Amino acid sequence: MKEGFRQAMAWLHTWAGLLFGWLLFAIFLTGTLAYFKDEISHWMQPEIPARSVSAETSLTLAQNYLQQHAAGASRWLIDLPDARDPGLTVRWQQAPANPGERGRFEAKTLDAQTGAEVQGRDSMGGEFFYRFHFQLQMPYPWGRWLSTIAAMVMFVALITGIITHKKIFKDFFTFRPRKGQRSWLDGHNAVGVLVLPFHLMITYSSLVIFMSMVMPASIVASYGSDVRKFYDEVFPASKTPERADVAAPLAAMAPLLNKASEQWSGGHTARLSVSNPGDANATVVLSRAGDRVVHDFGRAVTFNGVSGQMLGSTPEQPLAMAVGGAFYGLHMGHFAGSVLRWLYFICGLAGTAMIGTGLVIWLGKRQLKHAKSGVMPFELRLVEVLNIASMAGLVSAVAVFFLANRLLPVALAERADWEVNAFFMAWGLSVLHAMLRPGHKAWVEQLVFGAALFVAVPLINALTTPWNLGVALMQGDWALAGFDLTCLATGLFLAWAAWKMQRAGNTVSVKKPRRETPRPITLEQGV
Amino acid sequence: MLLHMRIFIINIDRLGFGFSAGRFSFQGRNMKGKLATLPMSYRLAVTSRVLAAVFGGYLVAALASVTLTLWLPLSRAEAVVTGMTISFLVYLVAVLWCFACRTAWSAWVGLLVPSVILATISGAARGLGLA
Repeated sequence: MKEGFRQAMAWLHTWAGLLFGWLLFAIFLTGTLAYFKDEISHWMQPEIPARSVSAETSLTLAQNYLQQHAAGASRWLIDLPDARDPGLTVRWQQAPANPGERGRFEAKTLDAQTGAEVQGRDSMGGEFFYRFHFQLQMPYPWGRWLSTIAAMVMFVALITGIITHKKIFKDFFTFRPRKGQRSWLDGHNAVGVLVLPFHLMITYSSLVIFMSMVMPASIVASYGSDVRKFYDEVFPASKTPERADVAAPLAAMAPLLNKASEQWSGGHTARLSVSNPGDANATVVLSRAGDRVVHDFGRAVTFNGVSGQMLGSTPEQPLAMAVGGAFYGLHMGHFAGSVLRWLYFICGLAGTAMIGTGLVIWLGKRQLKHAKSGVMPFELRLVEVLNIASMAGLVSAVAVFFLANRLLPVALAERADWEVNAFFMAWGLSVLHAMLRPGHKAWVEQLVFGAALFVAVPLINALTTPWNLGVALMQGDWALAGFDLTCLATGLFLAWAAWKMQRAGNTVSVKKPRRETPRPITLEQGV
Repeated sequence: MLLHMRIFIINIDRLGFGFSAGRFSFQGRNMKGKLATLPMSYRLAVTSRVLAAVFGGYLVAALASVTLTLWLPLSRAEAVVTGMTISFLVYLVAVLWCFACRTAWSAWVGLLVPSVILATISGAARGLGLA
């Protein structure tokens, strides 16, 4: 009775995991990279220098710039630089030509120290991975739906996986290296159990993030057709007063930072939004940086732009929203400092590895049955090609994306799009390569290729830009240096994986009979 | 060699990882795992379970979120958010049920009965003017 239940759960784990494994691998890998979104963007737009200046200084520069260049705009948005994202971004919206229309937005990035405009090379940077992670390069809202469906499947696969492993903690301490299929299974269990809390948190929170999109029945039941009212109640936004059409100079905004910080018991401002600058009814809304675990979407303080008087602040959110905000905050990890951010990154990699090992196990087990005849049925060959392209191919495509950033001419039209195109072309070619080459050779070749590409990233960076690893280290720009070093480490890891794969293939295909003879010594041998 | 392979396959099955039908109605798998021997009725039963899990499970989850929203003594927005947050747990349990139960028919029955009950309870909330 009990055994039957566990077997049924194992069946569900196996097939849910297989069908969505390739997609989930890509979602997990790009999501893991997105934890370093700002650092990746910084590396991909190295022209924007990292400065250590106070928020007040940057804000004063931004205000001066906007007063000179966008005095007549209806709205200003200022994104202050922080340790991870060095750019001081100013955007402004022109007053619409006709009422009811939306005014045109313009954006500029400023040097946080001098206030001069800086032109970074056209690139999506880390934003690409972040967007792909939940939009999957599909038109709205299909990508979001598909990624949320994948999250639900992941949730089912996780729970059925836990049920399947009755001796979950005992299994965790069981690792039998160099035992082929057994080692993969042990590894799958180890990475699964080791960061299980992370897996559960990240999967459930991803469902919560898009719940009002995928599970709207209760909104409709409670609010009827007035769905907008629901969002207004969940995310209370302060109303901005109408334009008075009386000219009045905008007060200096730098002192507002301190006032807002007092309101938030020490929290920092990430963004300022100024409505009707230069008008008597100007308002300044300061939004809080995501420096707490519990994310609060509406957390803002509003000031009168002329007198600097505080007009109001959003109230504390009720418990249900705080729980939702906590899931959101935990998933995004905005609050994480550098150590915690690396921990997130490592947990994300562990999740990616768990999915990857699962896919390898599925195929390996079924391949064994055809090892003698050497003929693989179509469905197994299909899984093999998809495994290779979705794992080794995707990793290579990431490196191609980085290399395209350095190798495409800076003046190229639609340059950011071409970086993305390079990524997908490389991924597509990896499918082609996996189809043309025998499985094991394709694995080794793509891993070697990926290793070479990743090692090439810091080298090409040094050859094409003045921001090489040495310079970054000397300037103490750890985002740039860390990027180069991580690429190097990834290259070495892929080379090691290729080498292991090469050797494993030799033992499986050529020396297979030797595995029958008991050789206890191998356990004691190193490496 | 062959014996060894067989033992290995059996071991894997005991771990519950093979395409073992488990307690499903038809155990259509021989020693070497030839899928071709699976009868059509087994395939239909699995398809039926999958459909029950995906669509029936969603129905139960959505109805559970509505019921919670209408009955929880919270402000409207809070009740909606709570209902939506919990609905995914209901979905999970519904999916597990669809594959754990004995037959494909019981999968459907096990989802439709709670659906009717939940719909009745939320209807009662509307009748009482809670909505």
